[in-house]
Amino acid sequence: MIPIAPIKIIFTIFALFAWSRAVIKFRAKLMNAKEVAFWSFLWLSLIIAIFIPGKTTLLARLLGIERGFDAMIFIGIIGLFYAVYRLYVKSNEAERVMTEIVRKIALKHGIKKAKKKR
Amino acid sequence: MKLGILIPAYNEEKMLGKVLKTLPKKLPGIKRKEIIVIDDGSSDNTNKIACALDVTVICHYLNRGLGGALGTGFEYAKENDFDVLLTFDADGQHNPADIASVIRPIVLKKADVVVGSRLKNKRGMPWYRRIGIFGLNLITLALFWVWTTDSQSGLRAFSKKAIKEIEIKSNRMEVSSEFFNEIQSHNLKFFEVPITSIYTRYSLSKGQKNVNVFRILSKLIYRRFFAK
Repeated sequence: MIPIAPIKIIFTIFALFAWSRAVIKFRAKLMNAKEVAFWSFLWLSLIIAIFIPGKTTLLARLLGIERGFDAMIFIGIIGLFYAVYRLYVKSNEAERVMTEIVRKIALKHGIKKAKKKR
Repeated sequence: MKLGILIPAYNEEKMLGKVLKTLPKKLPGIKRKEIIVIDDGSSDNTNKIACALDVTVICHYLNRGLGGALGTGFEYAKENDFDVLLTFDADGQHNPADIASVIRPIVLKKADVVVGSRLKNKRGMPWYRRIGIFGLNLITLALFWVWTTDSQSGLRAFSKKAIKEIEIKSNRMEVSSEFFNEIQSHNLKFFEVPITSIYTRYSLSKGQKNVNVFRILSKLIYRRFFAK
């Protein structure tokens, strides 16, 4: 029997945990079917990629990179950059909406007018 | 002409009362004047102090930052048909005697936006602050193609056309540079006049910090290239 590397076990536990979070959110109706399908595909394909040797090497060759591991790191960094960018855009958008709400309430209910006309 | 003096204030109980009392009663070319304090979710007595005086107070229930407060002031000015809108800091760093010279080019219809520049008269400004402002001036030039000697000045005046055209999207300190994006994109006539600043330990503690440059830069890049 081939021994399983501890890193593979740790990663699998983490991926299963992350996937379970997506399923819980879907059940609580905090995530739609498309989103849960995306996260399920992502985490399950990462588990498969870890347990089937040679698959990442094929991907690496396609990208013009020597080793499969390097290709995974490369794709991971790009993915993280994109995720940070999306979060930045979303947080800016949320801030903008929050300001608009505060502004509307202030202009409707939060004005105390000066008494005298100067 | 109808002038609005817009004072964004966040936890300014120490200086706000004094600032409001020292504002000039009469200004050349101005028939009516309204002082508008935007209380930006202060947790101290700022709101009480402003409400006790004969000024208009607009209350933000949550702190939204300088840009958020100025944006609310602009909305109010649009709804209330002001001919001139002046922004004035609540920390006591501006000299009320400069107001007349800042609004003059607007009253004479020579400009749409006037910025009171503290760097045309550098006396009293700490060197590290000059460096920070110069850096932000360069960033403003690179992103919005407008050169100014003081992109971070809080003493500015806007014409009726500028009030109508300018749309503030920033929430925090980056709004000072955002005004130059609006000047450039709406082709507004821009003018600078020298002003003197009053530097106290308090006003320096309240002003723009050099460490904020990178945060402002990232926000301005977002504003320039990604914001809707």
